[in-house]
Amino acid sequence: MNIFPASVQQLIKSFMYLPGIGPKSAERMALYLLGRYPAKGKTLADSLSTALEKVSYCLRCRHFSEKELCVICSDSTRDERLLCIVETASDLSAMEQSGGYNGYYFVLMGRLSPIDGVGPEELGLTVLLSQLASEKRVHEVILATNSTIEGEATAYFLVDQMKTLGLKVSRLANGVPLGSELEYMDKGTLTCALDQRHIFES
Amino acid sequence: MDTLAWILHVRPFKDQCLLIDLLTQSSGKITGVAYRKKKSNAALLQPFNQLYIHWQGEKYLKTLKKIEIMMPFFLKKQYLLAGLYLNELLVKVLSHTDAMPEIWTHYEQLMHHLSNQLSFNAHLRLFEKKLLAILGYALPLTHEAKSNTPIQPNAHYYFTANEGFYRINHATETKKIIPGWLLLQYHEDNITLNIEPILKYINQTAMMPLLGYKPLNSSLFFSNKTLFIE
Repeated sequence: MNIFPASVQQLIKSFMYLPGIGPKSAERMALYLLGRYPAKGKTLADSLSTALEKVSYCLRCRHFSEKELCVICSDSTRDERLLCIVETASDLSAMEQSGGYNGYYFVLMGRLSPIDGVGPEELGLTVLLSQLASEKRVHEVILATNSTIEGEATAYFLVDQMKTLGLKVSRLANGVPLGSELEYMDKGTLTCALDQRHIFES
Repeated sequence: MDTLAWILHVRPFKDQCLLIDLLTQSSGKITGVAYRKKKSNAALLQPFNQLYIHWQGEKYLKTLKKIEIMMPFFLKKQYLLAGLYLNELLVKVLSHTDAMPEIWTHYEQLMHHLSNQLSFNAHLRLFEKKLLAILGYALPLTHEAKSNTPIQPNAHYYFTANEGFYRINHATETKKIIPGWLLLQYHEDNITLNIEPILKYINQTAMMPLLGYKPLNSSLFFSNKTLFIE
């Protein structure tokens, strides 16, 4: 016998849609909102339903947006000669928080993975390539796909597709994380750091 | 059980886990679960790494208890895409019950080839040919299907999956024409670049029943590009 009414049971089940949330945490969340903070619960429900209704993808970069163009693509103060290609919106957010980049983006919403059936079409490459070919404002494409096998394959595939466009294509470097010690680094990263070492000027 | 293993594919599983397809030396293909909590696992658990693993479990899904790296392989450019093709092929055609030492050896040789950026097309075709033979779909390269007449170097043939090669008697046949000398050359494992595209067609046609008549995604994504041409 379940001790909660049907609507509460449904709410608990819905919280379990979130990553990392099991039945116990979902129950705690549901009871927290219903029992102690119903106003917060209302705000959460409203913002979720508004976001789901309004948010779609930017036509240019496939980032989340309420309008045809997202906040970043409508910002004319950015450097239009740079385009950074990332796998997900979270990667875009990470790049923005780094504070070191002021160009535009393109979000692939995945990475090339033949076994999982993710190919060029799913990654929106047709849109990207036709944009690059027709607009001709981008001078450098920065490939910021993850440093995984699939990320690397995606980067190589993109380079191959873009070689006829005459663009400068660069890739994020792999190396020693800030504040880390060589002793504890994995060998693969250390090899990459050595391969990609740069001239240290005084 | 302790064994050496190659990672074929990794995908997220639940919140904290990874589902990993492995080609093991002792037990053929297995699927195992590993925790991705440990930061050090991220670099280890990538395709093309050869690992030393300890796994437990009697059922389909094993639990990976100990993972140590034996040999990291860094594939680049078209060699990386060829590696992805190879892994997709093995994930899709191998079942979970077969221990196949020959496949292990051939896979290891191919990985060395790909990581050293050596020409790989002929080796891929030979790997496919051996794989077909091991799985019981060996190509009948010396004799015609049904009639069992020896293949003649000067005659022409067409290929049907599950059956074999048939002699073409009329020039109007619409099937892909394969010269007899090519089949005999392929039987001797002698692959030259000029015949490689036809061998690719033969292998892919022969593999269709194993793949449920659905071509591999890697072939679809990469085939019409310059990527696989050296």
